[in-house]
Amino acid sequence: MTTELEKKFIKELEVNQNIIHKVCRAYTNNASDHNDLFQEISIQLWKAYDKFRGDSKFSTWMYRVALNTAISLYRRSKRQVKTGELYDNLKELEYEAYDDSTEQQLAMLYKAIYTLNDVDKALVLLYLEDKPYKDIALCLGISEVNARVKMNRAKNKLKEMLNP
Amino acid sequence: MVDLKTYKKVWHEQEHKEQLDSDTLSKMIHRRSSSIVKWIFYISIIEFVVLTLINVFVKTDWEELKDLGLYHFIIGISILSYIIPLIFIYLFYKNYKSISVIDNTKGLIQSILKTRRTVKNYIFTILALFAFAILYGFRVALQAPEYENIIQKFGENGQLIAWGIVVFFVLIILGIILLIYLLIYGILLKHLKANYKDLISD
Repeated sequence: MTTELEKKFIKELEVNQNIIHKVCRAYTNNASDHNDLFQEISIQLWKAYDKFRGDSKFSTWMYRVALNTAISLYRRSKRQVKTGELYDNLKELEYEAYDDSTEQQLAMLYKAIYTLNDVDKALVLLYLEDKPYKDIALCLGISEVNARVKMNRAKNKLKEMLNP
Repeated sequence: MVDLKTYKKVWHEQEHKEQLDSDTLSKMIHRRSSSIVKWIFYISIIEFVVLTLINVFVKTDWEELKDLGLYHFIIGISILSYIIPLIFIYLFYKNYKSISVIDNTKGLIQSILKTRRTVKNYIFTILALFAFAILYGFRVALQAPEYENIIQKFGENGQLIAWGIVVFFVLIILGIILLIYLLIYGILLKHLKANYKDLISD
């Protein structure tokens, strides 16, 4: 039987599912792993939902759980392509024809993000979401100064990937 | 040179092509989790059960132990081997319950590694107890008359050879268990430890 709490949660999940898709797309590189991670994040969100007190926005809380799952809880499959191979593909991607320039830009961005380590991925995702450094530091459990230093490094790595 | 800021617009406008409906999401959240924490939990439970079963089912010849003067020693070791798992199971459960996905990333990884470390400490404590019991038992047994004849067959250095054999086998058994252990957890925790290192680095 579906409880009121569950209905409320599913509604929030449905509306905010793009957040999970973004995290999945950054941390996996094939559809099957994307779906696996999506499922694991959804399960973790539901398990923790009774602890969501509403003192932050649901989307912010969701980001934290999704990133934590991707970084700490998710068991990677052997299907994942190695970063080196991906970098070669990234160079080729520039010359591929895309009908949709927005999707082309996004695909380039995601492929570049995928080459970063898990912590840098989280930093870049939070940066792209316009989260303040204070929130980023709180989410990762590091100091604000450390978050800034790491972010600069991650951004530089990303720029190198996007401007080979 | 493309600046990252130029990507922010496309980032905010993106919408995943395959949007899931509420029915699919509803079924999804009730599926079984396959997180690393679940794996650690199951493997740890297996470790506790296997070690405890070995402990319970290993037959002890109490009469012979009495003759050798090892009776009280073995009783002591047996009591310890029941108390130690209870202490560690309590610590493991306490640490396991403290793992929370809504914690910050650093705190979450620390809780997972701490939980895992509890089981590692349990295994090492039991192995140390096992090695101590074997070596102490052997030292006492060497002084018993019925074993003296056997030792004498090795010649002048009989005691030394016998010790060598026992220590060798104890080390081999400990080495094999340690190797299996490091292999399983090396694979399971490699990624998590690497992420933790990246997170705490300056």
